[in-house]
Amino acid sequence: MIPRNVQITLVLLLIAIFGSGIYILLLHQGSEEGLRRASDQRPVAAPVAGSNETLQLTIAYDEDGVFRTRDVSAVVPSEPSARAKSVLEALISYYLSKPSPHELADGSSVNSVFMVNKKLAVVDLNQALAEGHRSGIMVEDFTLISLIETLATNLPQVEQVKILINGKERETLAGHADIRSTYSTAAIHKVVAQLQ
Amino acid sequence: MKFYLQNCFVASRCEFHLARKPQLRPSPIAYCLLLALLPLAAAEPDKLSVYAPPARYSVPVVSLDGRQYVGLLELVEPLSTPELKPDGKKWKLRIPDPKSAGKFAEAEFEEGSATAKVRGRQTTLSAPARNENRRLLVPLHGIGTVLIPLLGTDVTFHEGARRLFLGGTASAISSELRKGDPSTLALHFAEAVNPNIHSEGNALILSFTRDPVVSFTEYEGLNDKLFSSSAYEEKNGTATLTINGSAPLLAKFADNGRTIVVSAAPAPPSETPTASSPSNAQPQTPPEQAAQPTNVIESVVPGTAPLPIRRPQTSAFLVVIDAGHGGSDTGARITPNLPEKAITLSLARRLRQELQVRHIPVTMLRDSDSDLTLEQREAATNLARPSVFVSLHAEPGASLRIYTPALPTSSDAALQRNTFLPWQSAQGAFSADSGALASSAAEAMGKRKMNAQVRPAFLQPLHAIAAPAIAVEAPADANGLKISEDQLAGALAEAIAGRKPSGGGAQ
Repeated sequence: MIPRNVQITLVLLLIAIFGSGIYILLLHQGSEEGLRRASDQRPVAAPVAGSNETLQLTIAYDEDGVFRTRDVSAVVPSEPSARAKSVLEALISYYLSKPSPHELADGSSVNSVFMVNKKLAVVDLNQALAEGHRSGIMVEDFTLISLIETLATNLPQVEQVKILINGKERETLAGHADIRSTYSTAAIHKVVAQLQ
Repeated sequence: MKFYLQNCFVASRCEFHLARKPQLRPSPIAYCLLLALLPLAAAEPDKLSVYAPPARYSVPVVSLDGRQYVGLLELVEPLSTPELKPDGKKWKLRIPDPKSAGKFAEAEFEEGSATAKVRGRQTTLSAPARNENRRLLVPLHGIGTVLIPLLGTDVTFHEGARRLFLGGTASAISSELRKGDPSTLALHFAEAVNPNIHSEGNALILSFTRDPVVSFTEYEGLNDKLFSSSAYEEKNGTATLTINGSAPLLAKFADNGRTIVVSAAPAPPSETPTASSPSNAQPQTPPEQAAQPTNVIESVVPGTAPLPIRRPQTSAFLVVIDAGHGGSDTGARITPNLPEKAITLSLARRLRQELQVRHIPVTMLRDSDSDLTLEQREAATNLARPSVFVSLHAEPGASLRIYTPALPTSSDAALQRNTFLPWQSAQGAFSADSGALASSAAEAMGKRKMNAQVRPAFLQPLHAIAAPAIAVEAPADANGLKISEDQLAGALAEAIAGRKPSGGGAQ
């Protein structure tokens, strides 16, 4: 007859042995996964060929009704179209972060930018940006001005900008701001200077 | 890039020369074309006006096989959040039950069948339901058999006039003739109204499209020196009250829009030559009364290319008011049931009244819930050759703003007004005047304790307007404008009147 206190001790020891075994098993699996990931050389994102640069963004502040410049650091390609797209994506990312001085709809982005004769940039914005944009003269104008001024600041060779939405021409961004016209960056710069 | 000449200026110049050289006559073909186009342009599309406690709106009416139909989704959408799903030939409508929260009311229709099921009970339509371009159309005749059980509300349908009153919204007009010298006629309404008011000769015509007003009397003799009679008519979703007088009449709002006081129009200043159309100039009418500015009010007919707007005289000072958005373009959603287009139209009508009181002729680009493209707005405005252009907007914000046109192109060479102007940047020749007008408007608003900011904006259709032009964006909320509509319209009218040359001519 095994005394009761010995029985309890044996049961506790068995539980501790099983617990330790399971813990060791989990540790082993974790280390194997880590090794497998470390040995996987496939890229998880498209490489950006370019140098890390400081971009100057012209940010719209709805509450104050003004524009202010902000410097951000980003890897920017040297090819003009890709560079223009990266610059605008940096600006849109700034607006999409919370809290935002000028809110854009979730999912807003730039489909592509085409450079024509190095002087005309045709910016194709996605549907989400236009369809989810707040409707109003000032808020729409601020988006337009901010995009064009930021593009012109970081690509000084751009003299004219044409905005498309999902590859198509539209009359207005969300009912007010004119995107039928081709904008001169000089005209935009003049307005920004008044509103800084 | 679009760049074409401002062809309306070509037209205007021809007219100018013709006036001075009688030997030159326009081609008879042009007259024939114009006469042929006029009836087309004047035909207003059929519509059904719906008056319900949460919303007042109009929906288009379609005629098929001699019967009138209306889109079911368009009919109930402003009242609820409906779901209409096709399932083969059957269509299922589901709306939140207005009677009990959290539940749904359902109706089932079948294309080509006059039998429908509403809340599980079979009902018979006056004609088979139709599917036109993936829209479920139901017959207008007897629409109450669907709406009464579905919405669980009272329905009064003036079928001949296509006016549908839901939930007991109809309210009668009561009139009160205050005898005197001269007499006044007060029209009382159960709630604030916003009719389109214009005059034809000595008759004052009030058209109610968005107001659920009704009258039990079609004709009433008033037996007064100034007022001879009043006539009430309902047609195509609109109620029209005509007050006939022995002299030109003027309407003024009182009691926060719940009363309209009709009185004799004051004689315009004798030194101000205003316009009058030949058809309205009655030989027996005193000259100072014949020259009513309201004679030149016209609107662009929805769904058509803008007509050449009648211009009073080349020397007259004319204001074009653009009530922003309209039709399918709702503008900003101030609340789910209050679109920007409704606020801008109301403000535009108020501004028109304020200008008319100051004897300034006005043209409204739209005076109903009609679709107008930007190019139609630009063309109609430039053909009218206005002295001032005002575009009205509203947004769910807190600030009152006046915008001057910023041009998308920069040019060092200043544009000359009396030459051909590039269409997209015609405003370039008027930038300084637009800025001065904006400053005057801000000053007039300041006097009325309204703080307005003046800012540049890349706003359509201002770029292409060949006249001093501004846009006003007023703050709004669920109750409409956050600032007094009367005060805002008064300030704008004062600023515009301040730019009118003392001789009354165009600038």
